[in-house]
Amino acid sequence: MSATVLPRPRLSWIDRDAVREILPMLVGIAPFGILIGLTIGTHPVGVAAGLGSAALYYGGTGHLAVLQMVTVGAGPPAVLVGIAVINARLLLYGAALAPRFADQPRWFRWLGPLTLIDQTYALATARPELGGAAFRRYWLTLGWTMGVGWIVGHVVGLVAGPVLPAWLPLGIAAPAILVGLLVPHLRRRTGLAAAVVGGIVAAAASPLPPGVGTLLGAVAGIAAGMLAGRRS
Amino acid sequence: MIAALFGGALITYLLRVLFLAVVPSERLPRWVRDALPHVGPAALAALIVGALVHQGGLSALVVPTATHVALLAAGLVAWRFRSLAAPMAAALLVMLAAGLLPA
Repeated sequence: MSATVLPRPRLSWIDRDAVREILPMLVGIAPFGILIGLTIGTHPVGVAAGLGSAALYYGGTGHLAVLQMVTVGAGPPAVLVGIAVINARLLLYGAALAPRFADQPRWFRWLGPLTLIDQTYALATARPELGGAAFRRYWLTLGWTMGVGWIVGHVVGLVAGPVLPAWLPLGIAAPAILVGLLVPHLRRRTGLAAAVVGGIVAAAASPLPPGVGTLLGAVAGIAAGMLAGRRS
Repeated sequence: MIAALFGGALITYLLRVLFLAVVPSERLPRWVRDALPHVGPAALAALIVGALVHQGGLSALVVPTATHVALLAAGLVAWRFRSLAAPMAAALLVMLAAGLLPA
């Protein structure tokens, strides 16, 4: 009797490289997702609004900042200005990726940006050879994989967060991932200049309201990188 | 409260979509295009500093702690290996080891 070998199903809309590259980042930000899930569990906006908004924010820093601002009684104008400052770097990411989106279908240019975050930006810029349908597939796989994992992290935080052991150093995972993303840039002189100046200015401006120091550091670092590029 | 929460989400989406669907990239000024390659390292370094301050306050930037050693280990591992899981694992191991040391 001969065994019939069935062909493995091929999911052509999934980019395996994208899954392989985004998974470590997902593991890295999982503690952050769990932390926000914990926050939502006790927040006055309620679980449904907390989880629903998590899917729309698709990023922890801004979402957590807004939840905190709302908790301390900040009004809508203050919240909207605050989130614009905190997430202003997304404008820069969008500008950097604009050439990759320029020739894409209209639906992708409007829906694709929903998943623009530090991690997807960094991975997409590391794959400049991808264009057209290949880029769409890569970007959408990054986005859906990260999105599903991100929301699962929130749910884990809601359900299991209160019983997680306190000795687990979960807080180090997200900054360690950022370091992993930063280090390859430091091999170039311009990248090193941008990072050093960006870090110093962000440190000097850290007493300012949340997000302002990061924005000022990013702007100063970009200027330093441009200057270093002109001198070389 | 709910309006502020979802209004913030709308602002975030507008920031994301502005240069990808609203303003054509060829209309970007030359200086903006020159600046783009530097966005990554500048923003990442600023985010790392922000994360340190968020976790430990301003003193986290000047007083050496296990967190600094963990991030240094992550950086060294990232320099050697392209994987992103390896730096994170190195940082977690350093923090776990630091937790086992007597205070």
